[in-house]
Amino acid sequence: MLAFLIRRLLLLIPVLLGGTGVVFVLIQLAPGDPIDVLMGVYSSPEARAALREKYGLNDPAHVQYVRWLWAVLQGDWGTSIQQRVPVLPLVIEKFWITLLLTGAAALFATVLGVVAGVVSAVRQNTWIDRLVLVVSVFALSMPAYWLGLLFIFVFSVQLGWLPTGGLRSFIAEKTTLDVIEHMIMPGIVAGLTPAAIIARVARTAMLEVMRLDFMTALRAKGLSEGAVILRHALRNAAPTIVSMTGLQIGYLILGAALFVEIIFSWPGLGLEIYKSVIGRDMPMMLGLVLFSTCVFVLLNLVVDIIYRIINPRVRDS
Amino acid sequence: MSTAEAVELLRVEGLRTHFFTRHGVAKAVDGVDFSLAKGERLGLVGESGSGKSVTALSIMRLVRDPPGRIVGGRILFEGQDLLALDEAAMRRLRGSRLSMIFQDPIAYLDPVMRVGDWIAETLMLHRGLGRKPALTEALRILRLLKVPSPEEVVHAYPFQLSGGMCQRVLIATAIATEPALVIADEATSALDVTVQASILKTLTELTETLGTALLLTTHNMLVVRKACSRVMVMYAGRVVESCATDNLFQAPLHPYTIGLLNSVPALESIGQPLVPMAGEPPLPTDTLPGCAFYARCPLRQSRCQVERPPLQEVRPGRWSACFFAEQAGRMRHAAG
Amino acid sequence: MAVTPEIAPVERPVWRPWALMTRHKSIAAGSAIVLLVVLMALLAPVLSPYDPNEVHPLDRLKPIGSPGYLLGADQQGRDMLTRLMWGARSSLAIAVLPLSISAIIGLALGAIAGYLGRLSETLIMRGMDVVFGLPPILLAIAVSATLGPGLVNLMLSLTIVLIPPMTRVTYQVVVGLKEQAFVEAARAAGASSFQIIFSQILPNSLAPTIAYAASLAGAMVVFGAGISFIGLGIQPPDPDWGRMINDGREVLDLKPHVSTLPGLAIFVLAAGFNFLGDGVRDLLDPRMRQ
Repeated sequence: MLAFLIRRLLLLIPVLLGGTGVVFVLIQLAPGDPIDVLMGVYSSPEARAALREKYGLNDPAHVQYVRWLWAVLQGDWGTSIQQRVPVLPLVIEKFWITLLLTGAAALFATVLGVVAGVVSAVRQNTWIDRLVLVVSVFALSMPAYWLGLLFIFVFSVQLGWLPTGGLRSFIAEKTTLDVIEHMIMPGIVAGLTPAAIIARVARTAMLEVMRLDFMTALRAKGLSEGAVILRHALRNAAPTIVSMTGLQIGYLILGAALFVEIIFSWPGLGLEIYKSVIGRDMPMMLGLVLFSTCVFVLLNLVVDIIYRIINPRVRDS
Repeated sequence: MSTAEAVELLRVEGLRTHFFTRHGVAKAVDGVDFSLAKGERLGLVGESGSGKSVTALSIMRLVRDPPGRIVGGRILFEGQDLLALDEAAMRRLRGSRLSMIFQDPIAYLDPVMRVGDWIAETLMLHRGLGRKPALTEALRILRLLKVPSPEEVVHAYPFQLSGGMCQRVLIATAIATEPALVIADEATSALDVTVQASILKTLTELTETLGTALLLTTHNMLVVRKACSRVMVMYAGRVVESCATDNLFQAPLHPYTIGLLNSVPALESIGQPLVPMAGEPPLPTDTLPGCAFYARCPLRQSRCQVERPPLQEVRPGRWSACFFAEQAGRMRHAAG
Repeated sequence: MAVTPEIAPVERPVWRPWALMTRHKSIAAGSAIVLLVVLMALLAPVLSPYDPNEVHPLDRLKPIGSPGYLLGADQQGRDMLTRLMWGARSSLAIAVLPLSISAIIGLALGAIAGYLGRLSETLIMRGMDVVFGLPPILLAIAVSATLGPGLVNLMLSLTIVLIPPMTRVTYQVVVGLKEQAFVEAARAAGASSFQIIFSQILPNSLAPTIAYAASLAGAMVVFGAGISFIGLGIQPPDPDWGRMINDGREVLDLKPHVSTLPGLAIFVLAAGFNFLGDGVRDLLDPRMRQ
């Protein structure tokens, strides 16, 4: 286990170097100038040159990259050009806000997906199985950015039940309930596609296990159908379900949530990525990529570790 | 000991289990009668597809539905009709009064459960033990089975154990609750010959000590000979011959049994060439008015094609489903 | 000694469209939807009542069912039906082209890395790890932002994002194939690596890769339109469903049809591709059959 951990952590280094390198090159190639965004196209050349000098934008690309990397290793992630604050604390703050939303969405997706997948496998080829399959295809086909708009139109504009977006109300007192109210719609919208994927994976994994001979042996022991399914079949399908769920949570935090955060103005990483791309805010973007990739890779590592723990065939052989 | 004097444990009457498939109704078991006394060891012999395993699963009521269903008959176990019980009552019997072991032991264990927990699960369920005492009991049973280093075995996963070891674990599970009947479905077929012998020995010794009856299905005549006092031969969903094991080997009274004996090596026939049986059994979806063995039978007459021979007591304690049972008996002598 | 491989592992599906449709309801439903959208896109110049960019200032925000505007008009008075029909073109292109191109590249890279192994394996697969380590949406956005707006650039960025997973899928299949008896037999018969890759490896890894690509088409429709939705893909005034949703956002509370209809179009086309993808996967990947 220890050797596995060390190997995986070492593998993190090329992935992080490569990932940030790729993004660095992309930003260099990208049209547009952060100075334009910051000062406007009609600013004076002297002011522009001073600012370029200040952010080190005149040096060759590789010099900029190495300088950035060196600084990052010392804990200095640079300063956001747009927001003029240090990158690292800002990214961490935004990460927690995103985690709040995606945590809720992941919980919703996991519970709904596993329950739907298990039920549909146990009742294979019945109407409920077909319903789960068809609904899951619909959920997969649903653009989150459109569903978000529909939700806002129906539940906020028409019915007035829920706030249209943001993390909390401006005027209301800062209660947990207020935040939860703001989380409901984005949480459901962000969780729907992962729920569908988890349901399909759980169904397939359960069917694979339920075909196996030992299911008969369990029944011959006198176990009830519930115990056979929950204590044994689900336990055997768990490694597959866990690794797919982990992957989905990774995509959720670092991808799918982006659309949802934009639609619901949820002030998290996704919205920040969007703003930094639009604003050509290079230090911010690099920081976000570095941080997101770290989270993504570490999450995958955690999922792999859980997979090994709950799968004795991998762990003990 | 004859069955008449002994206390009857299990009586199967007119059992019919059919499978409803896309290609038609497969009559896997089509009218099987037999009884089993307390502590008796009965062998159920036949080729694959003869219906012996389905008979075993039917007694446990574990035939998968769909496609399979028990469509007729009675299964009287300790005086009550198993087919009339509700599922909850049946579950209380499974694993406690009657239990089962299977052909491919590794495949019949939960791959992610330690085998100690597997044995303990039965004890917790039927004896209401807590996990700790159940594990201690599991360890005791493994010692009883003379499993080497049982303390390590209980912590192992099935994939870490040999096939023979896994079968011992399944046997331990099956006898943990001291059931009245153990059904062993091809329990030795997937194992090495040497392991086979020791598993058979364990099974016979245990059932003898505990007074448990054993119903052993196999395609292997030699297994029956080692383990069973009485034997039933099945063909195409029906019993074709039934008698004490010794009688069967000395003087079989059905041409199918003779064919089976001629196709396996046995002590009596050392030095003689093995004679494989010609032809194939009929498809389970075929409906034949006459004897199912007709197409392969060396003794067949036109009568056999239109009329099905019933299972009759042709000599005391000797049952055969052949119109020409006596001729069949002479045929074996001529061959052997 | 000539060794003839005894197993003929490529099970070529017999092409009987009607039997396919009746046996596989999801293929029937999916292909009906996709076919309808394809027809709509192809016949847009003939069928659509207006030019997609023709503005009618007097008919701004006409509701659904207005005379002359079957599905209403947007803020500039452009006919919604016309723009939806023309918008189908970019959505179809996004669904099909990046997947096809990345599948071809992925097949080539995966086959080389998987079959030849050694240095090519290390270079290709570790390279893919680096690109794959980045969250895909992040990569797509970064590439889109770099390349600039436009349909071609959007498709290019989607292709780049798709290459690593395509390569991985092929690679895993090829590594499995390499051990199989019929490949060993071909090798023993003296076939060169090049011959084996073309005659044994590629034909047999085609089905899983196509099945995988087919299962992603629906997601590509949603994702591609999403990039345009956030303003990085197709730019106004070109008609695109994702872009149209964004355009309609500002009038969502008063005239919801402007952003609802293109969203519905994306949903329906994606569902069509997903049903089709499910069916194709069941057909090509027997392990998934039930």
